[in-house]
Amino acid sequence: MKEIFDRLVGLETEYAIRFQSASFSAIRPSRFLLYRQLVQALRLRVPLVRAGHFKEGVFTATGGAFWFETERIASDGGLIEGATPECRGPGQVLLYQRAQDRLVAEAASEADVPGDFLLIKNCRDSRDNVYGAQENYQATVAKAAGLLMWRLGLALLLPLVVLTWLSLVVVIIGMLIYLLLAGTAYLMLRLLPLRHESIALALFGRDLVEGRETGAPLPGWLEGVVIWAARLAGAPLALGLLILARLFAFRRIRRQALAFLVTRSVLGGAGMVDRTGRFQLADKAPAINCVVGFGGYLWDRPIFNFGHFFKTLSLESLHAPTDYATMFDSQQRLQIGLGDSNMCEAAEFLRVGTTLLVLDAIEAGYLADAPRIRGPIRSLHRICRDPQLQQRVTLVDGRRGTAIEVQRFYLDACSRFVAEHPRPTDEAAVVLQRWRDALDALEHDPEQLVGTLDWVTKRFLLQRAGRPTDWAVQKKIDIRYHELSDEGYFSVLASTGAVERLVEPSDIERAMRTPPPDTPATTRGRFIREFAGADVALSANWKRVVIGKGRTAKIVRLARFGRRA
Amino acid sequence: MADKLVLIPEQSIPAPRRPQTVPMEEAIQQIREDSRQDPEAYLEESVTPHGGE
Repeated sequence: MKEIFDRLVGLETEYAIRFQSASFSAIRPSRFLLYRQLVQALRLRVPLVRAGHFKEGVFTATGGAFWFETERIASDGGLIEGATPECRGPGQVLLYQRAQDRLVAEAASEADVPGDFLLIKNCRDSRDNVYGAQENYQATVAKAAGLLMWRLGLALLLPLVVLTWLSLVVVIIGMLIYLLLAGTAYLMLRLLPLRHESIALALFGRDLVEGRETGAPLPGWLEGVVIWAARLAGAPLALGLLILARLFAFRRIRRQALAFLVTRSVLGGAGMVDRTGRFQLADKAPAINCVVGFGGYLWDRPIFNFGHFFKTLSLESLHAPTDYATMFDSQQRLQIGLGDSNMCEAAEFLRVGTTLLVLDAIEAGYLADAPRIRGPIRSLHRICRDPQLQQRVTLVDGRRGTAIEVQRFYLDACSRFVAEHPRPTDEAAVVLQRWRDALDALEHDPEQLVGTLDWVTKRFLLQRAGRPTDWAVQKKIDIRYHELSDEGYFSVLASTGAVERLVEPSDIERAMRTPPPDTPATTRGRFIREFAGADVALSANWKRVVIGKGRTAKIVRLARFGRRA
Repeated sequence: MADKLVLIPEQSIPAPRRPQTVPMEEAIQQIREDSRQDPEAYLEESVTPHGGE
């Protein structure tokens, strides 16, 4: 039987940007420039290299990464995204998540910008823009006949993959033709007494006009056209891949883990004041609108996100065709887009630890009789709207149960799995005990969990410090709870000693500079530490490290490293 | 010369709570007062358009 917690796990966190200009008259830098200054500050703290990826980002000597995450860069959208290195076990991923939080928050505060640059680790702003957390678990995509069909389907998608590449090339050629025509038109317009700079900005974007990277490589209108053209170009592949994924990808996990995930907000929810002033258990879950999807391609927000498969086929394979071959492996990345960004260490440990145990139990055959919820999305929303935890969900067999009752089913199954495992671990025992203690407290005395679960802690603050008739005050408490600064309300509460700590500051210090052992991050981080700042060019991504350039470049594939010794 | 790679042992034992430094009521009062200081401005400063999503 496979070891407990042996799979790779990593967390992605999108940090909202809060910027206060130093003076009223100062021009606010673009989010892209704030990101660039953040990277400069990071460089002084930890070795890092440029990400070998189509997205703007860097990898650090911990093996993790930071990105500028946006779809509309010219419209000044964007957040800072952090991705932990690949870890094993909830304790390790908690440690590296906290190290990442501290590293990025300190870099933001030290960045050379004309004002206060702060980060907020949450999933929703006051205008209901939703972003935030993604969880990534290495898992078996399918077995036996299902794996054969998955691979056959990928092979059949190859013509659509090639068609998408050709379409994207056509879009790029179209842009080049546009620039040629726009350049010609601009030269003619310069002969007329017009506002030439405004015309240039409208035709070419700020980068070309100012001759430097400003974060606006194209004018906003053209960026919109290009994005829609790229979406249309990828639509046939997206449809084909979505059908294939729904039929065969992680089918057993989706069926058996869904009820657990739908009810998991009682443990991992961060709490949220919605636009009507009502308190809900979670930030992101109320925005989830489907079970399976690509995460934004058609405004979908799925529980199980397959967008990374689409990116691998449509974009990454264009640069590195061998990435297409990796999709045929039986072990793939399962991405869950349902969770919130946690401030409480215990909540984060529980969210990830319980999910890891459930995945292990499913793959060991202990959840074949897992409950199946009727109307999972509707049930998810109803659970989130009920902080009293009395809402009952209906199962397909007609039974009804509360979120806690469903969680207890999974707890019991995972307890049997661990008890009967030939090599049970202390960490698994800790997860089970904490899970049991949390559910007991939620049923009998939720206030025991202040400082342990985020939604309970936030509700405590809202009740004692808020003003229920003033939505703006309530929402400020909701959001500033997540601010990564000494003035952030979670930090203020932590200074009372009421917050449960699971990781030592000295361990966080070490995890800010060195990678975890026995994962691909170990090798990636070692190369970055050795070669960052050296004369040799180095770039890294999740799959490979490239040393040098051109024909003499050496490629180190990371998949063969990082197996547990 | 590069630093020697240090392997971090797995953390599975919870750390003890830090000693209390600020009374709870004082912390609550601090949050209460700060939350009422121009909350609209704070909410506006923290708006985060993802851009097109």
